[in-house]
Amino acid sequence: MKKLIVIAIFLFFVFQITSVYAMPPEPNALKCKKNADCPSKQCVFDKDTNENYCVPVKPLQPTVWQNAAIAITTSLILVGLIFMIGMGFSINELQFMAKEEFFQIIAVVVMVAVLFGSSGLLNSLSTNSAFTGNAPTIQAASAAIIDSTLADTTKSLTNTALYDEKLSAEASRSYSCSISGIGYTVSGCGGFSMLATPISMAGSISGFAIGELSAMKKLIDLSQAYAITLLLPFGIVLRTFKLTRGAGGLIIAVAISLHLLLPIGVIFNDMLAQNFLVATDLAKVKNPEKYTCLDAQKNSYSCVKDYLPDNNPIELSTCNPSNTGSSPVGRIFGAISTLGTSEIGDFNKGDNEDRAIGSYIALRRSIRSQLFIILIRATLGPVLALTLVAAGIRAITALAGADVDVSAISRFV
Amino acid sequence: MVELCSPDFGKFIMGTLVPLSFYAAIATAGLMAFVFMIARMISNPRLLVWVETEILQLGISCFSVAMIVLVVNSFCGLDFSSLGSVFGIPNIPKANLYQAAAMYLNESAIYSHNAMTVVRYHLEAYTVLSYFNAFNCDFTVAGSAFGFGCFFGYGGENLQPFGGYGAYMAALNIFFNSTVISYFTAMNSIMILLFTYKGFAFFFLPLGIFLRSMPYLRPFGSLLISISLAFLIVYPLILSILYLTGDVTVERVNGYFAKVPGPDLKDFYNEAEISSKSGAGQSLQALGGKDVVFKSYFPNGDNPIGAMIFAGYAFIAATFLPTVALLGTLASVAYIAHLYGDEIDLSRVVQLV
Repeated sequence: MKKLIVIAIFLFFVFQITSVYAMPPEPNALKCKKNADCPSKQCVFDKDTNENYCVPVKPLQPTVWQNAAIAITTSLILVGLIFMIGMGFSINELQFMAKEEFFQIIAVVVMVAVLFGSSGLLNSLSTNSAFTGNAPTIQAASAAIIDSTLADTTKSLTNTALYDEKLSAEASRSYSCSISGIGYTVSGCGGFSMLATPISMAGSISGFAIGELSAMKKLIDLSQAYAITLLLPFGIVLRTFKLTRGAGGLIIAVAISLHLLLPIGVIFNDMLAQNFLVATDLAKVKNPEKYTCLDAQKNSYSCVKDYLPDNNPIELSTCNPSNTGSSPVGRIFGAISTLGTSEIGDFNKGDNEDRAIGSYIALRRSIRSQLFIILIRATLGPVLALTLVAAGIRAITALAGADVDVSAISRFV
Repeated sequence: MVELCSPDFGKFIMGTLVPLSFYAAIATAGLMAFVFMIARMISNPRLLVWVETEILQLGISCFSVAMIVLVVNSFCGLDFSSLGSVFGIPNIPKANLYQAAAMYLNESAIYSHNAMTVVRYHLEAYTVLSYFNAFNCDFTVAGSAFGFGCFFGYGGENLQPFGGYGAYMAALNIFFNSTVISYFTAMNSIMILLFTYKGFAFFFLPLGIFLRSMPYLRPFGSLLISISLAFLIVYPLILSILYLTGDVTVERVNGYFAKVPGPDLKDFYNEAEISSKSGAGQSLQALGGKDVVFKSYFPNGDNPIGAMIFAGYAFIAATFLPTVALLGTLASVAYIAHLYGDEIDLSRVVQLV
């Protein structure tokens, strides 16, 4: 009776393995060369036609199940072999080891079932158009969020760089005059040079955010293409054996964390950011005077609007390189020409110093308006998501029975 | 040393490794036999128990060596092109497991090097452009229509038309450091792999067998065998899995360049632009105006954002993923050592990763 059960289980798994190759592609399926050729789909090789076809990616995609089944089946076959050798040669240790490994496989099956169950649940949540705009999966939704944030951050850096380009040209202007070897040079636009440092800092912060987002995008791409179809089955196979249990547990943890926790971190952060905007809007209705802050000078700290995205080009006044404003004659002429109109912060009025200060205030306002995108969406978002991934890897490796020190990964955050 | 899976590898295994391990096992067994005889002679049961334990450990060590040879030979026979088809990944170049592991690291090194070159190209261009000075002489004399006074002296405005790359240069400097680290990490991983392939693991095996049976040296012997097992089996295995993801991680189909919006990043790989010209040539070119100077570096426009995105991608391909592979391997070292009955604290080593 026992032998019959063993044979039946063996035949069932053989059928499972062979059924992978028997699956035909869908009618009218697009041909492809790689996964990137199939938007929101996966490029899969069909042995019958010897061609690659785009297959829809679903939470419970058949190929995913079958790959996982292949991995678990392979593990079961190997454990069965160990058990048989143990029985054949009456080695109790081998039989005991095979039994222990069998329980480990059951644990893995439970883990995979939980993974797919939670993935399906989260995918059903993520397909809610209120959150994701009808994205097919949480991975696609998070990729769309990253793309959007990357575009906004790029716009912000481009805006700053355009300002930098004009400002530095103004700051570098000087005036020279010489005749018969006698002359002078004045640097009337030196006041504009003070802006180079904050601009460099803004550029480095924006650039860092772009790098973070790009790295996240690469991880999401990797997760979409391979986390479940490749990494998880390999992790399961490796985890089955004692020698490679540490590596297997780590790969399972990386696959699950990239597949679930990374997109969740991105989506949650975006939801928080969107809620902040909605709350700001509601507060605006209740407390309108806080939002009537056209002059940020008078209400700069209570004006939430100033911190929200504003992609208008930064204003910059021109400089007169020959006007140093230091000679008494120059001061008198400058005072007469700007009589009654000169005010700090006004553009193209007053002397070069006023104009430089006006440009600085414009830059300050502009940088403040980029804070929401750069700090909340582009920096805090990736940090939150990557912290979730690092914590997830640590927790799942422990759950998978592997003791892996992942502090090196945490240090990347 | 002989390279793994090369035609001479079989000869090395049978001609060097197996005899060496055999001699180590024989030497250990001889020592055990001697101690056994002494124990019987002086009727010391504790020594007898020790010898019996060590003989069992010797058997385990010999089994480990046999398993390593078997697994390595099996890995040499694996075809990753076919394996890719099983997982629905098309167009995987033909390679065995050890070649696949080395190829992933080579590809990630190429990818990060390309990113480094693109970032460096932009940095060089922006630095050179920033230092260009223009002087517009407008020295008018007695109301002349143009700068007639410039024939007698000069009077006019100095400026740096390309002075405004501070924001981009600050950002690109960060990414240049990042890509250098990525490139060095990939090269470091290649060195570890080559060191493994060229045989340090095979040297550790016979040594491990012998030391494992010596008093007070069992943890050290276990560590040597564990390192051999982990670096010969686990490390290449994880890297070979990454090789299958090459179309995403290192953009194999795009010639190891990131596909980003804007001008193609391959435009920024040619380093022989203005820097190859003489100072006189550059000055003459500068006479053509600032647009001519800019176009000499960026005929199709610059792409600093694309360079930053590429650097971000390279970090994942060449730093993050090889680090995960190394962490998995180190975890396996501790696991295998535990299997041999020894506890090894690798936390200090992990901090070096």
